[in-house]
Amino acid sequence: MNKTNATSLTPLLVCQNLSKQYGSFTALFPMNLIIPKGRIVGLLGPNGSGKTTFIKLLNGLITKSSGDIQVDGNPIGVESKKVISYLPDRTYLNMSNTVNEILDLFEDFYEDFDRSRALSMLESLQIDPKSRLKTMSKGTKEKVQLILVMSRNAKLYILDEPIAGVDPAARDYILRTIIQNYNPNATVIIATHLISDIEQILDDVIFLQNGQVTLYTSVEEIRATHGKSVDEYFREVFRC
Amino acid sequence: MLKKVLKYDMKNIYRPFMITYGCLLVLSLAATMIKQIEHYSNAILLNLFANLFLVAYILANVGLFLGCIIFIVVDFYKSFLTDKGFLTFTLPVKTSTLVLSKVINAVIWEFISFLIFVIAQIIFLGPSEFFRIIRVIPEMLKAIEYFGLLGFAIEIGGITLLAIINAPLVLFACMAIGQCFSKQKILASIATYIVMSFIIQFVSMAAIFIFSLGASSYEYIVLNSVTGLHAYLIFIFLFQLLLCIIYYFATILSFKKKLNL
Amino acid sequence: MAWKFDSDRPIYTQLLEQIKLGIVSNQYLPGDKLPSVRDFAFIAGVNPNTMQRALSQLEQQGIIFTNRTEGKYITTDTNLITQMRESIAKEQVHTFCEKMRKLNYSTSEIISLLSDVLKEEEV
Repeated sequence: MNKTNATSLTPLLVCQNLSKQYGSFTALFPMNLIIPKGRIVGLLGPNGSGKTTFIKLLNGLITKSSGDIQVDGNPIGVESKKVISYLPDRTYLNMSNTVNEILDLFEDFYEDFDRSRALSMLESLQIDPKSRLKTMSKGTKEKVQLILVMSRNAKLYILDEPIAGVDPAARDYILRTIIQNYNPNATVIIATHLISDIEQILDDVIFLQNGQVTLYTSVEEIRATHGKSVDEYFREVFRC
Repeated sequence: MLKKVLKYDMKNIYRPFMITYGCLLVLSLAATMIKQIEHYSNAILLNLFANLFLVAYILANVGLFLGCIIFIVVDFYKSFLTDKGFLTFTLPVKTSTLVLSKVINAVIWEFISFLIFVIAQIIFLGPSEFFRIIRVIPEMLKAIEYFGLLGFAIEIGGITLLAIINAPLVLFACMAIGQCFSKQKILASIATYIVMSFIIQFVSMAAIFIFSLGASSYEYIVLNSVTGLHAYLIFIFLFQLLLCIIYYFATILSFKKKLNL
Repeated sequence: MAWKFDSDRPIYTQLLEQIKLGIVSNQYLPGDKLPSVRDFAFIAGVNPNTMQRALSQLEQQGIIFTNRTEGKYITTDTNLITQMRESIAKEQVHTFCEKMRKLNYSTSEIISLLSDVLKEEEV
């Protein structure tokens, strides 16, 4: 059951028969997906459902077994990486660097990086750009990584568990930043377990189950049809 | 792009090198002073200390060469095969540029390390002693010219240059190939290295036989020994060049086709 | 802080209710300028597309209007606002009556209870 949400909006991400196998194990069954521009999409599913595999495929961190991916008309490669801003679910920066050095790096490699936006966000969270990453707490490191990602004017933002390890106040800040950053030409994909926290800011949701897309619809549709929040509906669908 | 990547590659690796260089130069300074003890004192204990110190100095030199390779390999591993790879591979940079930058970076540090090694020896031996040894070089060059050994010099020069490039590159290729296997990546890397070494040994041995440089009992091709030596060296040069190309593309293809972070 | 929403109903319908309530309770005065869609979504803590949908609906109902260069404004039509107020109030009364009937209150019992409680509140 692979639904595509083909609205009248221009497609940003097009996946055709995309699949990934590791030997005899299928992490992702052939899937067809069209995600338009200007949407905030939740990628929901339990561990091992293929969320991480899908995200890694989009970012060129693993190679597909079959099918096609197009991001804003480009296959996965240098051109797609220019327009994708990715927040992994782990610390991936050089710990011995200062924040300023990381800002330099992003500015050097990403044309769409807005340093002043990053600096103002760092200021509002009281993070000193001269401090070294290894002296920061886990939560602060995650905030820095998020700020870097959101300071780019990308076409596709991919956030892997952006609010999982963060305190509720920061969670709020992160969600508001996502809203504030909203741009009708860009799309945000958020992979997460914490559905109830982000439901309000999502347009659409994709349910992934055992490597297959079992649902792709809007939050409002689920609420109107089932009289439940996405969080409740998700628990129902994925009940063990 | 390449310049940018190279800039960051060098920035990320310079600290351990600087520390190692500093230690070596300090030790060479100390060693040059301590070796005077032998001239001025007959006390056994003092001489023992001096000798041990000199041993330590020699070990430090070895440490420089080991450190050079280790720093380069560890940096490659960290950049491509750990969580930091998430940053490296999502940069809008071609894989070939990323790998090329690491190779150039490695060669640059190898040269700098050699330079530091030379400086350390100058300090240790003392300038006059060092330059006495250095004066041999122009004599050697004259001899090369006189005996028509220019060809050999060029061939050996080329082989050395390739050796400098291939030393880190073979390790890069083994690590890249190793990570293609989802299980036991490190074992796979080591296995690849062993296989490569075996193949290289085999080819070199075969070359020696074919160019009649070995035991004269092999009479398949009869060559004048000088021509044979030339042929052997040229063959080795081309073989190293081939290996260089193979390692480079093996590394890039491993990352492009079978990246498995 | 972000607005609160029930989890079992579409957010867009709840946005409509909350904005209408805001107008009727004079939180937004007739002729007031509304924040931009994005800013408004930010304030409410909702998806901008959802906010856009709610605002479009309100515009269709004539409750807000768009001045092309300057943004969105609350209507100055006080009759419309009064009508809105009445219909929201009516709905509240309907809900109340339904609940009271479930408790087996008759019409006259409801009316007398209502006036008793109102008298208590005045004190």
